[in-house]
Amino acid sequence: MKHIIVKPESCTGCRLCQLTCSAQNFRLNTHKSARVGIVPRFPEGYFEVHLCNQCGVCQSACLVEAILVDANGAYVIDDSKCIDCGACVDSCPQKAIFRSPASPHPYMCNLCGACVPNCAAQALSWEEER
Amino acid sequence: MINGYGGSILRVDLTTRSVKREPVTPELAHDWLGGRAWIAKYMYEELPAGVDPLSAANKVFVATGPLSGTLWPSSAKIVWGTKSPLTGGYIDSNMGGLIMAELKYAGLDMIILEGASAIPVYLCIEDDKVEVRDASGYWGEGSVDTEYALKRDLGEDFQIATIGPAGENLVKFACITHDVGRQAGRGGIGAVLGSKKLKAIAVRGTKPIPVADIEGLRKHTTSVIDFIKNTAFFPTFSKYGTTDVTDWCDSVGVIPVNNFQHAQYPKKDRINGKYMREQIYVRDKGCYACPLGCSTYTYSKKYDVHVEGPEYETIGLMGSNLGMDSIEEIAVLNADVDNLGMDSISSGSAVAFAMELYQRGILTKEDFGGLEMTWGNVHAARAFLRLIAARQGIGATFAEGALAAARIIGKGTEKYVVQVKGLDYSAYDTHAAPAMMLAYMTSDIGAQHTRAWAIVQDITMGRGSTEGKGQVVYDLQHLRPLMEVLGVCRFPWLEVKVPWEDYVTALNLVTGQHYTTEGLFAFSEKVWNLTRAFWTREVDGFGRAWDQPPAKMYEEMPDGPTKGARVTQEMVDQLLDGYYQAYRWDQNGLPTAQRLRDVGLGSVADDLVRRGRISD
Repeated sequence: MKHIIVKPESCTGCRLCQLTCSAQNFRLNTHKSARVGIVPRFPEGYFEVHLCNQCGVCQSACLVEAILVDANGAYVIDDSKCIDCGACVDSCPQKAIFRSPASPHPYMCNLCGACVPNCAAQALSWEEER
Repeated sequence: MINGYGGSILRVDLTTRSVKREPVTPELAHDWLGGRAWIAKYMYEELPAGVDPLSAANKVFVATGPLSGTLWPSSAKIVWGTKSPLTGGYIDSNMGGLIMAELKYAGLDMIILEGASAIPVYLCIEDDKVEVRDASGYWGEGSVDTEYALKRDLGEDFQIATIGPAGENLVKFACITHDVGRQAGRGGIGAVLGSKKLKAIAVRGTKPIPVADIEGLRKHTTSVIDFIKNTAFFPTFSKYGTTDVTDWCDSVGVIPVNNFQHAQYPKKDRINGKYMREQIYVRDKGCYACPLGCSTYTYSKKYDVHVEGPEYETIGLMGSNLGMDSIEEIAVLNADVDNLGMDSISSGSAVAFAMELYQRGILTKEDFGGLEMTWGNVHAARAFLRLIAARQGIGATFAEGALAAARIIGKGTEKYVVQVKGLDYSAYDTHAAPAMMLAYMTSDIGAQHTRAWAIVQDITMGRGSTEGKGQVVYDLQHLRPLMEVLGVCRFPWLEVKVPWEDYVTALNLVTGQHYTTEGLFAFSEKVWNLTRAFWTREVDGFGRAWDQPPAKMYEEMPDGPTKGARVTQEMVDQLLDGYYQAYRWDQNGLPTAQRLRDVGLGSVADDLVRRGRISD
């Protein structure tokens, strides 16, 4: 199973991961629909990177059993079951489940990997095994 | 909906606190693209001829381009423009960061700021909701401090541009700050905002930017980032950014030392990118959508201060040019001017000019209120900068800019100011760099390096030679300013050689139009003629006399790699002749009516003829 691992100390805050993600997954030019979160912390001078690490806490937290694991090992929310209660969003230790006008339901990283090659700073990379 | 555009122009009358939205028409988008081209067009059309830059009748134009805020690499530029209080002519200055995207997410491509408020205000934009709000609580605060305060008060996800005390006090080289340490630095646009009592612009938007072919743009972007990552220079430039050029500038003798009296710095190893990385590095920081991440966020333990940078220009102007000991002194001076809200280039020039007057005994300790303005005296420099920002004591004189200060001081001191058209030189000496000197002489905002950075061509084509240099500068002035029309950074093209054609492809993927390099260069020619026409209209007697290099360039360089080099009037005349010829302007450097008509500026030609500025 493949994971995307994060090295937040390499993040420059450029948002190319988010822009690429929104383009790939929603066909939108914005960083605000992404399945990855970037939070700048200044004046201290670092960036928090919020990305699903497939820990599975959300699946246990979901009250309507709407969260599944797909063939790639990604956690996905079944839109037909999700009632948008937000329990998964609140439960996520990574703060990596997002809401935006791009989707009627919350969503997280689907391991499409489009962001990885576009992170020139190499804050994101593939890892074969956890 | 027009692909590549937010869709509206926001016109804000600060006198009446009223706002209105005007649609971006397909003609405006297609015929004038955006960015600095829109600024040049609106400035010529809307500013009354001869307007006082600090009066309510002047306007500030804040424009994005069609690529600003898109997925395309380094699409992070927003351009600010106005009639400059420092030079009296055309100024535009751009910044990176994230605000350009946020503005387009709010459906806006340009803001036009008109009139003047009686009390301090800031502009707050949240999608379609726009308010001019009381800013009394922020007035007097530093630029960066105000950004933090507004984020705390409005929300961390607002993007904010501010002025500092220098802008409020109408210091003529006051700048605009955004994203902790990004500045639209040059020409005193911050003072014009200060004259309008506009402390800040805060913006948050939610609407994605319409793109004609988003999947094509994503694929193109991914392939260009792959290209960038595999270039030989990428690891170095992403690590050191502009500071990487410090050693090279020292080795070829162009780094400014003690107000351009020398061009090689004995303490070079204490101010370069490597030393900076070792001593004060915190984190690499990138602008929106930028794979290069060239900026460095730093912390000086010695002075307990955070700053974004220093960049090379600041290392030159506030480091070697002031004889400073190390990168720590440069960092604290940089942090000071950032929060005071002053251009670090012109601030460095003003302090260097003051220190040279002190060195020569023209001004004394008493004149400086007890400050010993010796080279390398960081405490004196810091205190002096505060006097300038507050217009206190002798600071009031230097707040006018180094050239105007020299005219007030008199005693022939003008010859010690290194400037063109009142805008201070950036950090490349030109005793032995004729193409770079011509670039400074003819830049349409005054002596700024970004319109044409021709030092490399001076090295490759011969440093004493003027041959072919007019054409070099002409060519660079066509390509580089297009970056500020499209709303992108020049560094992917300049530093890691992303082909220009890739930019054109991106523009067409975003807009769905069919622009060509040839068409865009013709457009560049039009914009360059238009800014030249603005100078011609605004400045009495404008022409060749305004394109002259600083007096210092005629003096022999006493030492270093360029020892003995000096510029002659004959060289200057050859450079200008070749340059004017390339543009097909007259011998005095004025665009002819015919030339203006040929490039599509017929109404401007008629206007200048009617005003008697050019003959028909």
